[in-house]
Amino acid sequence: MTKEAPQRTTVLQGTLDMLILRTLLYGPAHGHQIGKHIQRTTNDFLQMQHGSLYPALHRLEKRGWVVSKWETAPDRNREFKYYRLTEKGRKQLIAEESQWKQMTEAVARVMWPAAEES
Amino acid sequence: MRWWPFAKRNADLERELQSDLELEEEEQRENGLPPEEARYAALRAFGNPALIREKTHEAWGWAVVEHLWQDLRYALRQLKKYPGFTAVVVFILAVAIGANCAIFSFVDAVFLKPLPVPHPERLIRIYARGPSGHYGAGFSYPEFQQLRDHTSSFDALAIETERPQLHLVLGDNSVEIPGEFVSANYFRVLGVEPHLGRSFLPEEDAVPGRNTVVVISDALWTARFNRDPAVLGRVISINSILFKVVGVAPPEFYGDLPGQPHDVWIPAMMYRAAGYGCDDGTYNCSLFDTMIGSLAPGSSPAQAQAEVASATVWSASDWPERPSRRQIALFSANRSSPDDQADNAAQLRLLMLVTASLLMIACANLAGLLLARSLTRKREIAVRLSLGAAGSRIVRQLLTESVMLASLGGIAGLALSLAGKRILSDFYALDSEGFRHFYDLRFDWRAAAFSIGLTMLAGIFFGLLPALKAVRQDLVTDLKDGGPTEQHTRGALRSALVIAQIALSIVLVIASGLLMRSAAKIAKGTNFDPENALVIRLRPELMKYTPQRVDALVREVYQRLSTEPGIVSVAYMQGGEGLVWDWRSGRDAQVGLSAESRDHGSGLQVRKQDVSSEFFSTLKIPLLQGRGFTEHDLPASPPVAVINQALAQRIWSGGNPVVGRTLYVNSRPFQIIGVCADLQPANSLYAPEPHLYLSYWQSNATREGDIRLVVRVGHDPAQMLPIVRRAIQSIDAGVPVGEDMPLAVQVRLDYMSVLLAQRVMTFCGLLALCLSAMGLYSVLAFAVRARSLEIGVRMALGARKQDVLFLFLMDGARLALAGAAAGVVAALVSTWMLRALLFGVLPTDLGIIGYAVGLLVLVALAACILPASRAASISPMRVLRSQ
Repeated sequence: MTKEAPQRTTVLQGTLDMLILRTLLYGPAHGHQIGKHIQRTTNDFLQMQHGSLYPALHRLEKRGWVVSKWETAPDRNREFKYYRLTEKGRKQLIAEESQWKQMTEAVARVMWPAAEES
Repeated sequence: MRWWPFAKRNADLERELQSDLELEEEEQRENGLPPEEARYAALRAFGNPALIREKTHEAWGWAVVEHLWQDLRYALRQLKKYPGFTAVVVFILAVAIGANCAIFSFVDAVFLKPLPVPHPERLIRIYARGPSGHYGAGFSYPEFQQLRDHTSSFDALAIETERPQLHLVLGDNSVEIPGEFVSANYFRVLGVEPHLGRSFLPEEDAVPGRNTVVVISDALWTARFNRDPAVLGRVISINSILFKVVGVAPPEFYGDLPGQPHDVWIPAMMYRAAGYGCDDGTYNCSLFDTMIGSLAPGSSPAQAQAEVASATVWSASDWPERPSRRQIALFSANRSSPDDQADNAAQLRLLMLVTASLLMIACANLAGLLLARSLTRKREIAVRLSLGAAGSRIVRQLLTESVMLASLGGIAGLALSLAGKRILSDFYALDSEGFRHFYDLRFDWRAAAFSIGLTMLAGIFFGLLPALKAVRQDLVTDLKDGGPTEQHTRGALRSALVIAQIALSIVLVIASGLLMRSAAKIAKGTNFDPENALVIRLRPELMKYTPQRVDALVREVYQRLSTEPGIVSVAYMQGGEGLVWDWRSGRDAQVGLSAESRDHGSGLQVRKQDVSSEFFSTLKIPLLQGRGFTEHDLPASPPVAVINQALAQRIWSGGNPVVGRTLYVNSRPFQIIGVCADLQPANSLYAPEPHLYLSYWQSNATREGDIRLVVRVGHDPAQMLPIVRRAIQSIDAGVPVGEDMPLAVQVRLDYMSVLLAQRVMTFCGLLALCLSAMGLYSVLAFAVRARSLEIGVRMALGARKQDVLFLFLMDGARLALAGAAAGVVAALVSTWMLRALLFGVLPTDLGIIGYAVGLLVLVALAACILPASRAASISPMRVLRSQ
């Protein structure tokens, strides 16, 4: 666990923030839900290490892209800390989305040049 | 949002993690795992909570603070766990840091502290530098007036000259005080307002001798007037002139020269009336020391320099005797005079070097101690490393420990430096002419910054190496091993540290040996005997006695003292500067082999003293040829002179006999009746100076200046002092008497720089030697412990106790000798720096080097004996069994 985890997080470091913001676009969620959501949507490819999820959430909160609040879950009798996307966060998501698109296009052009020309 | 209370945010995080952990657990249970398993599965999936917490804290940006806090608490625990170790380290550091801080407070007082005036950076001082290189050539008052009226870079310009020996009479008390003659705008230039009364009005400095007003210092007001507010208007007698007090200076103000406090300020126009300078009615020939001015807004020091240097007033100067080549120099007034600075700079530089060396030795010692201790903590560090701690984190924590130790040492050192400052200021308090010096040694932010900086530096210095070494280790072996083993005995680093310490200590010890011999030579007196004698100075010129009256006074005093029981002989010297026995005393005179040699320039410039007949016998100066003066050498008899050996060598190159030859002094012929020994102590920097002695009664020198007496007594000069003073005062109660002290004390005060350097050097040298011995001991003791198995094996194989003892003694000897060799080489290369302080001893005196090495050998032996004998007494059976 100690040997592999660092590798995985370095790959996702910059994109983890983007994924979290995207997840929150659907609506408020708490840490556990976010992790599970990403895991499910990627078919277990991206297994969320809690060790990187919580620091990322708090980092986003520090930057003002999300806000948090303790609320009672609609279907349970317990309180969870729900995170919400802010206006700034929304803008940030759009920015990071376009950046990601540009990067993937550039990478694709290098990797599969023939496909482009045809 | 970021500054929520830490505990609250942490609790929030805990709650969040906890709730999500429970969710995870529920999910696992829904997947079909039993509750126990579910919990563990949840935890495993969740990850390392501590790591999560740490990462989140980092995201908050609190990592640095949190780590620091943890480090501090851990360091504190470690220190408390080993109180003995902590105490030793703190003590060593306290002494080393304390010494450095004490010396620094002097550097601060002399060089760094600004003047006690509102805008010290705007003040500029103007000096004239004469051909001798000193900055005391001086200016005349008319020159000052010209400059003042014709320069634009100064807002205001004042002139000042100090007189450290003004004679103050208050009621029944007469005392000598330091004071200054200043132009009326002096206080305004400095921006200082008297806090009682007023400063001078411009018209009070217009006519020579008219306005008898004075401003006194706060110290004088406190000491002599008990801070009585009715002091304004009181009349005091200074140099037998009655002055009216018109103002009291503010408490912080002592003048504008660090180290030289003044008690009174008098208008410059009173200079001649007070008995100084020369009399030509225009103040053209009197010389004032320096001018001080405040820069006009918008002017820079460079502009002022250019303007003053090129002023036409210098070429227009018409006083014939003034040295024509005077260099005008401008300095920021924030410092003491350049002559003073040069003297102090050399001295303080030496002292700082010495105390810095002591600190380095202390740091090397502590580094060795910490290295040894880190070996015993290897296990703990190995565990931490294997748990995932970063090496840098551990290094940071170890450094925190050493900085914490250093801080404790620094605080203790500051306390010690207070005592050190007191001792040092006692050294500087009095000088050989009886003047008081005062340095403002109070603690200010500069001293605080210095001590904090030094402490931090020391902590990092001695902590870094052990810390770095501690984290570079092989985890597996360290976790398995119990304590220090074979591999750790090589300790090359620790040996190197000990060798370095020993080398530095040897240098200090050799230097202190040299200085001790020099001080001893000084104290014994070069060709005169300072024991059982006292000196005293009369200043009849301040009473404006006629030359005849002065002569009568001298004769009476001589008669009276010669018949006093307990007094063996009395001699006196007249005029000029300097102390009776000082080879730099007297007035200048031109000697030559013909009457015209003065004009030809083929003569020699020497110092001349006018002395009484028993001068040589009272001081016990050996006469190498001929005789001294007698009562028969009167004004009517043929003029006679006694010269010193250096002068004889210079003029006649030692050709014998010199007695009977004629020497022309200031173009008058004198017959040489004797040659005396040189009073100048041998020093590699100064060639022997020629010196001339004339008979007091034959000399036609004006009777201006002081009469200095030297009195040889039967025993205990200190007890005879009041008797002598009373005797003089019974002849003439008004004549100012000063500089009264045993001759031995005066000699010591005059060479105070040598004494001070010697004391500091000896203190540091002995301390350094102790530290090195400690270092040697610990290296050896450690080796014995680590090699106990080897010893056991050796003894089992037939080695005797003596062999083991010898083995370890040799180890220690090797270290000691290596250090000694390095140290001797370093000393040979560096002791030339002490040249100016070494009298009668060469910087490379082999005898002293031998003594130092011998001392080191003894100390090293003492340090090695205990561990070596412990090694020899190891029982092989016990050791072999325990492995």
